[in-house]
Amino acid sequence: MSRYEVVSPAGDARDARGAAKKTASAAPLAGMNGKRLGLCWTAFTNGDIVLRAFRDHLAGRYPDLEFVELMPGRGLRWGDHPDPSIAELVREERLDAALITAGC
Amino acid sequence: MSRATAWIEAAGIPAVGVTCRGFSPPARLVARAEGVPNLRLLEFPPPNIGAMRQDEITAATLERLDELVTLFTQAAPGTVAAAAPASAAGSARDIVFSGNLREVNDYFRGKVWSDGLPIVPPTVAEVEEMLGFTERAPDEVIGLLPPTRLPATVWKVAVNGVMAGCRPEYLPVLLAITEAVADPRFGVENVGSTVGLTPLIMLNGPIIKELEFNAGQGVLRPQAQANITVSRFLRLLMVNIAGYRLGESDMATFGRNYYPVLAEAEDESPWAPMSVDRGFAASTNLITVQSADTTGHSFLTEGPAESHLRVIAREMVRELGGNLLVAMEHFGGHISPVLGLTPLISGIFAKAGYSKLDVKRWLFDHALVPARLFDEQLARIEQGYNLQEAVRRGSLDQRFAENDDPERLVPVLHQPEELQIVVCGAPNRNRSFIAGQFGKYGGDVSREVRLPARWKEKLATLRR
Repeated sequence: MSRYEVVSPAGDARDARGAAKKTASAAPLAGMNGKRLGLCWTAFTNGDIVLRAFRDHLAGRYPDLEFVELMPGRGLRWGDHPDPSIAELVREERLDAALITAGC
Repeated sequence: MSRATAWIEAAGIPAVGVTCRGFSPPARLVARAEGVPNLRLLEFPPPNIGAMRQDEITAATLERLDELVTLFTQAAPGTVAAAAPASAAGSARDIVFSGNLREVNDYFRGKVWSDGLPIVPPTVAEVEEMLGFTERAPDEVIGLLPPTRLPATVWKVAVNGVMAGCRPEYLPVLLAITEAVADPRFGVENVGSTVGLTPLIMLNGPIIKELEFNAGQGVLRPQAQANITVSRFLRLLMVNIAGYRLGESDMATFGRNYYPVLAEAEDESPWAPMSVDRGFAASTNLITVQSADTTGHSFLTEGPAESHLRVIAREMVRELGGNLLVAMEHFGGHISPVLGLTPLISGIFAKAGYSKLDVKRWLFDHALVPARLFDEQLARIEQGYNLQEAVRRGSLDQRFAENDDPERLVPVLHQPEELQIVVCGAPNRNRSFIAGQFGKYGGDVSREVRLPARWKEKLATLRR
């Protein structure tokens, strides 16, 4: 019976030669009071309901917490699919943190 | 959600994403590819957010409030994202397994490197023979395919092509397909969504005959080697490079099998081929890839041209006038459904004096739904959302809100040109089909097939 020596079909990050994104992550908040929190709904049913529910609960616990309706990208509306420009909007709005939901 | 959360985290701002239970693995995979290996993720309880009542959501969010605060105020959790598929050794040419046909297939199935069907073992010799049909370097990166964002190199395209059962001379088509799906307008990142979209590959140009694609009777049946193996290649590319695996990153509710390549019967068509509609010269070898939500019922029409048109318009309403209306408004502002016409029916239209654009305009004017049905679909996205509001926000034009009568009729396309017509199938049959499309979830992208020098000579050598 014939034998076959085979190569891998799977993608290999090493083939990207530097094209892959660098790893990053943000430092946590020292606390919630006095912070500006962006709320962003990025598509599908009830994602907005979840955000508003969290907003109401958080507002009850942290009266100084400020909420900002964050769009999912420049020129987009709540409920649209997101765009990388959302990161610029977060800076422009001087947000300290963001909560992102999608429905189903 | 996971992309947006990762983009914000990567900008140095802590962000928490909310997802339904079961969707954490793909969310973490996406975030990892975006450079955020430790996503701040809050899981929602079953069944899913979209199916919950408001009071259930209120209760579930209250129960998770402490967890949410912890996610914001502590270092991102150290959960390691699912490993992306990667070669074990240092070179793409390294041998990863040696065995007989059954053993190779068992190994590949075990690695989830296949689609369940037996594969052709990708030996270096087979891959190199295929690479003889391109002048591109084997290590050229065609694109990084989400969600893994792993590189699709020319070499890996050939490996997956060999596995799919493609002949070596298909490689230029495979490379063009890879270029198309790597285009952000296609949106590979949405292939694993719950809608379970399946790509449809359409083909124009002399290469249809040169590579013996079937454009005639039973065009969407798996029999002609070129039609079915080229489509299978794309599925393997999705599995092995994009990294789609069921339950991990491919969250299709049902999914469906790949469609054979839809080649156009250009010689039997009374009109210029679809490639011309897409802005290319008539003789261009062109692939177009997009999602096809279904390929619909093969429906009968008869009588004079207008009789055929009336039935087709009715079938368009049936196929496009339901849940797909959501895609029309909410998935990027452009759709590209396909109408498959046989040579017989397209000939009837042409003899009656209809150009292809005339047919599209007629169908645009007559494939209409009551506005209340469109409103019902929009309200499922967002409470209270309707056509009037969509027009006010600018996502649909004024035609969709000429008055507030819920029975007023509105089209199922933005404009006539969105409908793509492909002449194909059994030449003398009076049947047609409509393939719905899901907007930017598998957006329509065309790429010219770039042939190597001495193409015809190479083909002749193979067939000698």
